[in-house]
Amino acid sequence: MKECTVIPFGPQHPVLPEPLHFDLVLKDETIVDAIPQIGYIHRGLELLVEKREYQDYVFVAERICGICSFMHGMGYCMAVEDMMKISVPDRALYLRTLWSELSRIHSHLLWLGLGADAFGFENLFMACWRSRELILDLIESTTGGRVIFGSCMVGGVRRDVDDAAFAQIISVLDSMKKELQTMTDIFLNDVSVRHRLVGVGILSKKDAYELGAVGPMLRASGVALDTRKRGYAAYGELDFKVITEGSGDCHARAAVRIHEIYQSIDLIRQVARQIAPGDLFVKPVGLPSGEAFARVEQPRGEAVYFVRGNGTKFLERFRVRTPTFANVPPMIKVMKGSTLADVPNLVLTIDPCISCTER
Amino acid sequence: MKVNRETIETQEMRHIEKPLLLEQCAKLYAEGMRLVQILAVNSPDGVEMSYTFSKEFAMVNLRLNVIAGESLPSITSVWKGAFLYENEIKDLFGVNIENISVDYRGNFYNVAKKHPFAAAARAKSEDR
Repeated sequence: MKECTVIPFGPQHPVLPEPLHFDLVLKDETIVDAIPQIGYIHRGLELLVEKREYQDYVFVAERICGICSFMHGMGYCMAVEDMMKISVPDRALYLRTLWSELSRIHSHLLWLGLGADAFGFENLFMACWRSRELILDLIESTTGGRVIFGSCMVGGVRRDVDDAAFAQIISVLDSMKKELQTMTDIFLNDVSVRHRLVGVGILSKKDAYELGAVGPMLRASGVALDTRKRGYAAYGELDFKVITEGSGDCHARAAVRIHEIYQSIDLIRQVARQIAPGDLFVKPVGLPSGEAFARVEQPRGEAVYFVRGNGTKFLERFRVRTPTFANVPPMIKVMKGSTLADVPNLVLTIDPCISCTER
Repeated sequence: MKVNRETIETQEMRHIEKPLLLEQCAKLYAEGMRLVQILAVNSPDGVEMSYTFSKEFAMVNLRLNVIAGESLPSITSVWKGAFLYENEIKDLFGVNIENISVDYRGNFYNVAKKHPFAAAARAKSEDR
């Protein structure tokens, strides 16, 4: 029997965007096991909920992640609102949907760029990030921030988006169409890209479900599960279908994300058409007591929020199960049997966010 | 357009005894439910565990209390993907979970303090 070699991979590595460590156990070039380790950026954000008033904690929740910042704030608010039986105004629900979908577009474009960089397509990487800048500009113009939006609050939202701003958003999204189509063609049809992605890191439908995969990782394996279909925020009023692919490989995961960009653009158009004038928030009455779960579909997949109140202005427990955490077992599964050269693609394919995972 | 506030999700909380954990998990597995998360919360006499399962948009939570010093069986014999949650809870809360299919033996979280979320560790930290 050949001897195994253990290669330490991360937490700092040229192809790793996140501080995740793996001990890769190899026989020649083939991976036989991958042992993960995290804890390099653990910040104790969950414990901080005991020391910040529940309304102020939204700002901490937003800082769990720099990409899904708005959705973390929103998930926390949804859980607290459920616990306190707060009915958020319709306009606020539509605005939350708008910012969620802008977040999804910029997250997927960021991932596509990083993916292109991982398989050595620098030009494509720059094209993706150039388009992402347009989305970040829209986020900045409507919230004042490019990374941390600071727009969500318990009971609603802090800022409004007027008709002129909605017209500007639609105009920018229309102007992106040509560039997006070019990127789509390259990602889905280019020979060299397909060579690096097709048939690499296949995750079967059964494994995806049983190992607890979420988001594009799950949907690329053919499972039609998208938490937005639950109807939170204004998604219950919007028309969309869950995007799935069947092959479960890296190419399928890229395809799901690309198609979700177009879907998000369509959802924003629907929001712009349907949003009606109204209040932005309601003031919470009383202090949080009891407990509640909330689920949100982040760009990386389903995130689960748990809050428990004790009748004071400080919560007793806040916990978030992030999509990256759920996608680590499937990632380990697809790494086994793959070659060392495919590791960057395989790690990136789940769109890892260790900042989220460690809280 | 007015928003319909009725989401299609249902949430259920089932309080169970420790010996029934594996049996209940196997039952939910047979019903086609997937494991969504395992949650640990400090309780006055130990740790409260919640196992969340979901099928489409129905959510079921199995809840039980683990008294400090007691051990808990792993559910990885039913749910392969549970090993990561169990390793996390073992590392952060110090719950002794037995027979995890992939046990990193306290090396999943690279933290300076052992079991930082455990009630005893937190009390010591607050004293300082």
